Amino acid sequence: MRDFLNKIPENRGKLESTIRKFKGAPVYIIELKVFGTACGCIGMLADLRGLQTEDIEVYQKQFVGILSEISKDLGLKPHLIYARTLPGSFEVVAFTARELCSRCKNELGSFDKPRPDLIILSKT
Amino acid sequence: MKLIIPHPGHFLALKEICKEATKEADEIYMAGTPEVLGSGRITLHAPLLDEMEKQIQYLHEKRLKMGVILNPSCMGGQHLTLQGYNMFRWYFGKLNEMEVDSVTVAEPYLVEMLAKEFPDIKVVLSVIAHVDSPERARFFEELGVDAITLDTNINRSFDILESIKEAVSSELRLLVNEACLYKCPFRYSHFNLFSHMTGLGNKPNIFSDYYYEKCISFRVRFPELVIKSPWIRPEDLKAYEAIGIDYFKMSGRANTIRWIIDCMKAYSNRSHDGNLMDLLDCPSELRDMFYIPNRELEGAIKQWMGCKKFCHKCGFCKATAERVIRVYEFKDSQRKTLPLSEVRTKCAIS
Repeated sequence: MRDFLNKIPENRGKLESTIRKFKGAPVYIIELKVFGTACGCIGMLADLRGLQTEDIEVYQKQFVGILSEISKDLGLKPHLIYARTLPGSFEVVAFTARELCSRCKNELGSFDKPRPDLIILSKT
Repeated sequence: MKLIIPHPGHFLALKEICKEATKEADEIYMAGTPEVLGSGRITLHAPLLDEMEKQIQYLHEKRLKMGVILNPSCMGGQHLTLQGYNMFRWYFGKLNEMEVDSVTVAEPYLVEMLAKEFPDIKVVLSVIAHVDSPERARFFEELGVDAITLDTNINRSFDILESIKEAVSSELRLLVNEACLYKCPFRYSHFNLFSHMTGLGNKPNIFSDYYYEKCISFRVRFPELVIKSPWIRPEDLKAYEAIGIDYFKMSGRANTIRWIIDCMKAYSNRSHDGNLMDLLDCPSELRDMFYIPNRELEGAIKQWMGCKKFCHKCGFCKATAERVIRVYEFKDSQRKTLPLSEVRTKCAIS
């Protein structure tokens, strides 16, 4: 269990340094969390600062790559990887990789843009 | 030099701050009762009148002063209704009976009301009144302030500071470590948001603090903004004392007790050896992103004292940021720092 917990800060650092490298600019991953929701989803969530929606357009492939790699390391098989923005702004504030429960598969997985603040990066 | 120290509001914090209070600590301040009047910043604990009275007595026994902050930037016009007037008058009367030493407000009407009806209370003008010129300072002096906390945007404009000092006889206070963005585009909106979040009436159910998150994001993307923001290093207080300003207020009443005490000590000792970010209030979330060796900023004040604030032509702060800011990187379970230039490399993928 301790080994798993140690992976969380390591992956936080890895996510941060990888994004910094391919973007060539400072980015800050405030927190990386592994979560389980009441509905039955499990996943990981990275709170971040310093990215804008245009970064998603340019580096979507790279974001999916690193988020998939970290998910695998944490033992997750995400159905959905998405970015959350502040509604009405260009600010990207979080990445989530999520194994969906059946309800959320229906609600989040059925549309290209299930909520105006979400940008779907990859869906399986 | 006199320091004005933030207090999160609960009695335990006050006792701990008092235990380690330095001889420079003159006044300790906390938010008032939100059931009556909000404030311009996050309030973690707002004591009711009984608790406030005990805290004031406790402070007076320690020969320290208590300031109460009631500085919303917007009250939705309540203060100009008879009901509002009666409520605020009743509340100020209670504070007066408890022998509170000062009340800090941002609203001009409350300045005049306090000055006229409660002459024993020292009336302090909040930084949220944005006093940035001799004329504005004189307006508020005419309304009855005893002390003015100056707009942080002029913290590094020594010509304006000197002119204000010449123009008014009120005590002048500088907020040393608020460290908001210089000329922040969110400042008024953010204070208004907090005013409504902490005050009377329906509180908006917001989805996020847009202004704060945007502010932090700006600094991550443009780290020179951290250098441009008008904080004052503990070592540089003497430059302000030389022009006759010797009241320095610390920001940070939403921080931990330990953080407050460490900042108080750094400013009292006029020295801080370590990360400047550890002293700054607003961008404290970035303490684990940026390492700014305070010692390497020695002498920057000389540039700022003559600075015309035409950043697009000058570039001093940007060059300073490139020189001193280091960025934390976590690798192989170790935290190390890299120069900003190494992080801001040429785009690997275009």
